[in-house]
Amino acid sequence: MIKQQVIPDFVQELLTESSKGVEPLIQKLSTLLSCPILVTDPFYQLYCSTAHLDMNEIVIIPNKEFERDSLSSCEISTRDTISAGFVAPISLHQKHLGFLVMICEDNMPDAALYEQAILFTASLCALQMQKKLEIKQEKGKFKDAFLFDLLYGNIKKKQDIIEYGALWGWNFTVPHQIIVFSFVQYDQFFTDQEKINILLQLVEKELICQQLNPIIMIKQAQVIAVVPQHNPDMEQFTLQIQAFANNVLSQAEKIKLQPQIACGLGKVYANPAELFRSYQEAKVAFELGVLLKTRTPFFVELGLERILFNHDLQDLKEYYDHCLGALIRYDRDHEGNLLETLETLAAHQFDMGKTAAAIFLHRNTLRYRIKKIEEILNVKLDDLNVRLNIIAAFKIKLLRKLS
Amino acid sequence: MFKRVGFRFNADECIGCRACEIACKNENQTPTGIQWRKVTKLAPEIYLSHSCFHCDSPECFRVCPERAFSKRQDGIVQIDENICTGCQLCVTACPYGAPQFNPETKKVSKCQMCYQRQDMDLVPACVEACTTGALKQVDLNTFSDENAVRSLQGFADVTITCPSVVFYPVKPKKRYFLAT
Amino acid sequence: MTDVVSMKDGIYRNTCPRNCFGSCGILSYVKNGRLMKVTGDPKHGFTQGKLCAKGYAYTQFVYNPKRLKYPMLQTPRGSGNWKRISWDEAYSIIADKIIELNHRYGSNLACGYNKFSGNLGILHYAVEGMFNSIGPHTKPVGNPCALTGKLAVNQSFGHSFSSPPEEMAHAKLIVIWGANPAVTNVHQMKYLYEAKRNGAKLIVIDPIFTRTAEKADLYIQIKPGTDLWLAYGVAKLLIKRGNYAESFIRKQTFGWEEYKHFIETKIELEDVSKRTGAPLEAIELLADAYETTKPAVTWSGLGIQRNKHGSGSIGAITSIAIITGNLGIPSGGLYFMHFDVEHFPLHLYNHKGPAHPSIHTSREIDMSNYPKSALALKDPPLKFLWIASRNIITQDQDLKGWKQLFDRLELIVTVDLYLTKTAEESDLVLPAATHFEEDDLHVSYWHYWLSINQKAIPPYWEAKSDLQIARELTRKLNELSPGFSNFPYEKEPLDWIKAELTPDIMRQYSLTSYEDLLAGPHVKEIDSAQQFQTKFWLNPFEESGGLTELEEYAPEKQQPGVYTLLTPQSLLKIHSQYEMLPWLNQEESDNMIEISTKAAEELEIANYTKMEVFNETGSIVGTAKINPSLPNNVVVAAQAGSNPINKLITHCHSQESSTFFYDSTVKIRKWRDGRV
Repeated sequence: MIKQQVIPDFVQELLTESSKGVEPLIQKLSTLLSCPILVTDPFYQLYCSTAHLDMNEIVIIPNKEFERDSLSSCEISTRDTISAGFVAPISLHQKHLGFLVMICEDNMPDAALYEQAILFTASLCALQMQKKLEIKQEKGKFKDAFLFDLLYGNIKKKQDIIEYGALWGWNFTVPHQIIVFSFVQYDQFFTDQEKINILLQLVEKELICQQLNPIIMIKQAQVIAVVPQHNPDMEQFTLQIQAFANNVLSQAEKIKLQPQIACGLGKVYANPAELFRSYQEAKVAFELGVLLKTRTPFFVELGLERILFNHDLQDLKEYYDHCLGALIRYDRDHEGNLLETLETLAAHQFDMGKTAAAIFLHRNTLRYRIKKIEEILNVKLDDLNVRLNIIAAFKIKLLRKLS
Repeated sequence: MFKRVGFRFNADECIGCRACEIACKNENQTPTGIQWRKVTKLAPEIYLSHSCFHCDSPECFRVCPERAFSKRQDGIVQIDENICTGCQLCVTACPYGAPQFNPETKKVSKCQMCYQRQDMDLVPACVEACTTGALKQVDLNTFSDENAVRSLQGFADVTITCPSVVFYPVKPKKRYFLAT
Repeated sequence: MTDVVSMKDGIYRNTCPRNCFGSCGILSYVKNGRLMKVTGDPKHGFTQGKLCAKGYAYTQFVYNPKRLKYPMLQTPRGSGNWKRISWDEAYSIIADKIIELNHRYGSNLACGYNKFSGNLGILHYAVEGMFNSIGPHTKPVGNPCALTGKLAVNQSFGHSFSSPPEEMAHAKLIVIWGANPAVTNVHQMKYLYEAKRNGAKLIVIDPIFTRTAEKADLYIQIKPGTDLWLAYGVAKLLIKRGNYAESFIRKQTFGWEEYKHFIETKIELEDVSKRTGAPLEAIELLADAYETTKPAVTWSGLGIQRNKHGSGSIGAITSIAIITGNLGIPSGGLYFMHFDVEHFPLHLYNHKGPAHPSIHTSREIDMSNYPKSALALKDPPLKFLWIASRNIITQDQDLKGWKQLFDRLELIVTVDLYLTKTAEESDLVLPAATHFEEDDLHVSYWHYWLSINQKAIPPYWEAKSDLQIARELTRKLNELSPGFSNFPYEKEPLDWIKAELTPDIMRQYSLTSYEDLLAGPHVKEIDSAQQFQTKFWLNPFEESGGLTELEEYAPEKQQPGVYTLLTPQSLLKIHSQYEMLPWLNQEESDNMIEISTKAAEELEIANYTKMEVFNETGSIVGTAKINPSLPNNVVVAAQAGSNPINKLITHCHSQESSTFFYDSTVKIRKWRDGRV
């Protein structure tokens, strides 16, 4: 005989609410438990919340390793507060989708009281999140095909692009710029989808913060963002986009995403049929940025670098040796590091003060060294032409991996 | 995702016979001097059969003022000769010497990876012709082999353009030469 | 069948007729009577749907503005004053001359031909058939290319022998002596690589660091012509270590005791090392490989039999394959080339002509010594020469002799596709058809596939096949002098092809009818067991002149400043064929002379500067290319080109051999203006 099973009321309530989405669901749970509830992605990035929290500044620290299907206690810290709470994993078919967190505003209650409700809600969240993911992926297929064609200039007519874009809510009548994010050390067989998805989420979130309708695509190991020029002031826009790129890089550093992330920025194009250039430019900027150790490389700023990168290597080696060879040999014979000093000086626009500060040298010591360098190279470092040669030589060193 | 076609070149198995090169001419009937595919000696004992590598980041593409290039979703980079004005910026930009300028027609053409054959599920003519199997076509989205490398000794820098090609290097060998 | 029949669009089966190991199956794509492109025939089991670079250039070979379009007459000979004539006029000139000579001398002995390997199709024996059909004439015999090796293999086996090439894929050791398949037999390379992928080791022995040698796991460079010694050295080690297949040897060979005795008493490893230039360590590695790895295949290349030690070298190498027991096990093998074409009836070749009242047979002259032998002919002298499938001026040696002979000839007719250097020296040139414009049947001398060659396109302008020319010329002869020829000119090409497919041949190649070949090439069934029913002779053996005393080792025999001239095949040509094709001749300038670094230093010849190669027969100016891997006293030059190297080939004639091209020696020097 089957024993009559009692289904608690809260199950029915939560179930009904879950069909409306994750947010109404946790709202319901919050009401039921009289505690704020939040949901994060697998990397503790906030997904939605019933409390008003500063989305960027939340850190969740579990008190122990997670066990499957169980509740753990944790610490939730925001900019101003530290609270205790419980956290439960949200997962479906062993696929990890995020965490459900309950914040206990007063003192920690007995976990057993809440466990069933939270775990059940977590399961409902999993179903909803998975469904949303699938819809997104399905839509993404068409979107990806369009974006591929956009990025490779396959749609030759401006009007076509504008019409297609409108289907996704993108306005291609305004100028756009392309930014590429990718991993510094990747090869074309890079297949770590999970890491690329994290990167995608970072970029997506940062764009949303900037109030932009994100046009984002994953291509192999790249996350490509097509950013509309929302600010008519080009100078300001450039600063904003640089800040955006910087934020993404900082976020990645914060969550210790490995391998390391870098970016590259193309030019702004008013005609969407030319946007493929911005994409290619962004990739060139990415590669050169990695070599030059530039954090936010803009293609437009890499003129000399591109020429040097493409130039005949043998010729460049000769030029490099002509400019700096004597110094390298001096360093080698005397175990010195004058080359390093000169490189730092060049990197600081030949500003003595900044350079001295950067390498913790007394100004006089630096002055002495510079004199020595001038003697060895038989040049005057206040000569603009000399400076240009030296800057170019150091760029060659970085770009072509000379040592 | 889409298929991403690319070449797989095994330097150890290329005997430099140039069948790929002439098979390309046979298939595409390109004029004399227009070399969509070419076999060259990269270093002592290393031959390379090279054509357009249908780069992931094609420089030809970026510099073309006429937007004559496009990239199919399977990765094939195409040039539309009708749009080309023969400015040859792409010829200079390509690190691999792929775009071929025809002084008679004043147009640039290049390997189109036999896309008509691809559409019929056939491999490119050069790959079909390779008698040792040194040159093959692979789907780079699924290809994976820890012995494969991105470049060969003497090959152009792959950093910027990310050519759709993977290599196997030459294996070490033992030699006894006559005393000189 | 008429030549103006318009051909149907579609895909036809052809076979590459070149003198090459591949004899590749070709599929020809024809549209509006034009050859649009070619591909390999995937049904060909050896070539497996691939062609070589030359093969892929066939559209340009066919539609080449330099091809001969119609018969032409040059008056006087050598003047360059060519005049287009009709085929009928050409036939009349030739037939008149043949008949007049017949009247003058009372026989056709004044008429001769020189034909070789320009097209290996069985129907190209029409040339021989045409001459046979007029009764006794002057007939070339021999084979300048491979006779030495053929006879040497026959001495060991009692018949020609070469293992099926596809089986090489299953070997665990492949030892190549003096062959360069990466250039001359590209389709074999895939079997080598298949074996290598399965763990096989490739060893190459060659004086030149060839493209095949580059791919070898172990390469041993030896002095030219010393393969014999290296093989003896390996045998010495195997016998010394007691590592030979004793029971197989006792059961399957003749001459073992003598052979063993010879190796044990006459061969010293230090001596072998000195003669070959290979260090002891290398000889030991080679012996180790033979000793430890089975199945092993041994490949004797044509290169090793192009010198006077050729026969001995082939025999000595064959003996290694035998004593290691590799001929008795699956996938063990021995490769040279085979002569299976001789198993066909060859009706054209063997066509029996009308009897002459007093002369019973044709006069035979040796192909390897043609001009001298021909000049020596009297009663009657040679007066008329027919040249087909052959470019004498770029390929044969003794060009001075040829000049004398040409001066003495009253009519020279050359049938060719292009106005070759030989055609330029002729009175009449007749435009030949390519294999796409004629029907034919092909047997390889390397693999064992039989394939058809279909007429796929109408002839280029007025070009005709050798068979068509034979049919029409003999008809003309009979018109002018009834009964002069008994050539069955009513027979169509297909009749000749079908006649070759005797019931026995059909059985061997698993054919039920001629039509089977239209569906794809057929392979011969090879009964390995039957191949080894007879015993092998070990070399050196008494029948070849006994265990002769070995030549004294004289390290200084080669005088300083004298270089051995090696003239291997180039990648994109076969002899002088294909040199008119722009696709295949885009960059490399011709007449490149490869010299060693030492020679370049001693003679102060810089890379890519003009230099001169000369000997008593003449002098060639070429461009120096320093090859750091070349032995010090070796010079390498490609064949043909604008200044053909065959001018410098000196051949010491000996009976029953092919031409010892690689015994030629030359001197070299910097080129200076004004020096002739």
